[in-house]
Amino acid sequence: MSEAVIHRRTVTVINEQGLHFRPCQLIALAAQQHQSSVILSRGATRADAKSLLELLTLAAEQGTNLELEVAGPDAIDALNEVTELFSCGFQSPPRSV
Amino acid sequence: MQIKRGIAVSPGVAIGPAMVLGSENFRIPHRYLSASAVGFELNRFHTALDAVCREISLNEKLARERLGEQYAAIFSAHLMLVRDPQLIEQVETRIQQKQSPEYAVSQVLGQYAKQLQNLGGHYLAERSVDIFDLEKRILRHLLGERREELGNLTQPVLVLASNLTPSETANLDRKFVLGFATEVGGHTSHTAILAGAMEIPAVVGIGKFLSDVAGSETIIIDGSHGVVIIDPDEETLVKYRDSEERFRSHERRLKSLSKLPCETQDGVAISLLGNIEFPQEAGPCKEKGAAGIGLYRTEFLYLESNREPTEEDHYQAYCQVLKAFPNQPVTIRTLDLGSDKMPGALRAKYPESVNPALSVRSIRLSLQHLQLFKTQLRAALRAAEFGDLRIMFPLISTLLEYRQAKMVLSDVVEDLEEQGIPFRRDVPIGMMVEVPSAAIMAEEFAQEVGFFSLGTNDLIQYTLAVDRADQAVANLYRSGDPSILRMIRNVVNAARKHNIPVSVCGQMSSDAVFLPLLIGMGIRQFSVTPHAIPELKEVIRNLTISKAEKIAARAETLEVARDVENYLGGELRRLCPDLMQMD
Repeated sequence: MSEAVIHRRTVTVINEQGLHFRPCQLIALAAQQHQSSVILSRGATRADAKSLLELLTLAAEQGTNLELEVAGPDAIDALNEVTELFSCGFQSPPRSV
Repeated sequence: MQIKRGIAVSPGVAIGPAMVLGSENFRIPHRYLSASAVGFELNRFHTALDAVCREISLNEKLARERLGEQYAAIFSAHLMLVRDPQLIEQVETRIQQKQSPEYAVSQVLGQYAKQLQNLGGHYLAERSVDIFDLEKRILRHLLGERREELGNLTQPVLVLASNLTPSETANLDRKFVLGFATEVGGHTSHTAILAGAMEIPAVVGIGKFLSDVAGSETIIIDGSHGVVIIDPDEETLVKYRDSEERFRSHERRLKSLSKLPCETQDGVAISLLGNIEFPQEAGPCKEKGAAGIGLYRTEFLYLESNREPTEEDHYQAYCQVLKAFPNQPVTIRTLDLGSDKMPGALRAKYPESVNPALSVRSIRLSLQHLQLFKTQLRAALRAAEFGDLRIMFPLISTLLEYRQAKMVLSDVVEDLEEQGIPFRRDVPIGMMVEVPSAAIMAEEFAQEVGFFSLGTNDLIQYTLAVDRADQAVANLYRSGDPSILRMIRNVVNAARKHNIPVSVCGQMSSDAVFLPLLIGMGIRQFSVTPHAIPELKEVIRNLTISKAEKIAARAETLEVARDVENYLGGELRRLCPDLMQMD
């Protein structure tokens, strides 16, 4: 798989509190486990998903749709892990679908 | 090249790389200079991050043990912030662009915090507080390390700071700190006095300038003229290197005077004593040729820690000074603090005064806190067993006040007698003449006190109603004002009439320009900043009493300060041409 390929997916914030400290922390932790670049954007605001500081600035409340962009050698893994966090509402351990 | 002007407090020229110290409120340097420093500054940044991580990890551990997992989670989020890849990357980029780590951190985190505040919503606004807290933590380490570095210097620097505390100044390593310059402070600040004692060229009261200076940039500090030059051009450097050398050889010549007798050409002995604040200054002061201590300021004992000094603290400090001057006079001034500077324990009791110079200070404070006062007097009387100790009361403004202070002293004598504690009985007791009311009533005072010591700093401040530390009116503070000369004349006449010693211990007596005048007025004893002793001795050795009397008689006829000072300057130039060359 070429590293230049950008994988995109739309994720939705379903948890009640939105992207507060704890959810952002979980996203950043997951993103930091991978070599690939992980970007979450809300409209024109783009955030490095490995950065807690940047994730906070998305100010994403419940119901917000975010664009997830991943590129790199382990892009698919990263994409799946981050998506899973969103779909389970940042509850751990993640429930199986 | 930029030129900054401040107050010259300790003469000499120093040239070298700048070391910029932040202050408690984190005023921070914007940039640093040499490209070779990038690695060094990056390293400083990461060391600070590591230190903050350790701090937060410790907090996390404590929270987990004491409060439970959910509280520890707060700190784990903070840990993630410290290690945030965007933070690190952006700060590193800025450092590579020659921003100081301090400035880079506050810019990057400041941006994020502002963004969160602007997004609206209570929750995010509160998170910006977390980010500001993180900024403070990192800055504290970056700047704090700099402060600590002061103690472990390995190469010469010029220290630039918002302010240096007296104890920071006292602990400066003379080998590596070539000079210093501060944004705040005045002539008579303790930091200035110490700089003079330690012979470190220094300029204070420059006003805000630190943000114009890059770390490790070349700086010139001209402590003789109160000038600081940032990033000087080649021509300026050559000029100052030359004057640095001239100053050194001048110092060497003056040093050779220290063994010669301090007397006028017609053989009249003049005693030059030293003003000190810290017991450690006594040794160097003696080396300068001081014939004793004419003013031992005891304030540091009260300001050094938050607790009140014990009798033993006082006693040990006094004994240390007496040891350096076993057969020469050592005059202790009792507590001279006031509402702007209160000893720790009393700070809460006196809310900030509107007008500190006219409020509870000095002897007034001592008389309101007899226990505090008695502790000091007991220690002084006990230490007096080991030398020629004398006690003087500061800021006496009425006869009644002096009598009250003497009463307290009698109580202390009685107590010591009753308790069978050894002490000396015949300690001379005198007063500072530094309030105009006392100078005016000198005749009456002279009948009751053991000696006068003219405190010109306060006398001038109160007579001319000018605070020299206040930049806006500092130019109105003139030692040569005829009103001051008239006050001094009155005090000298009263002392002579009643046959009591009178000396001058204010900054005026450390200024060679005024020395012939004061000698001409009849003063034979001066207590001065120790580093001024060799220079003053040179003036004395070039003077005759009749010449000095002529100078005084002429100066006393002049009507404005400027004329007095110009005339005295001209006379000094004629007396000691070499001395004036240094200016």
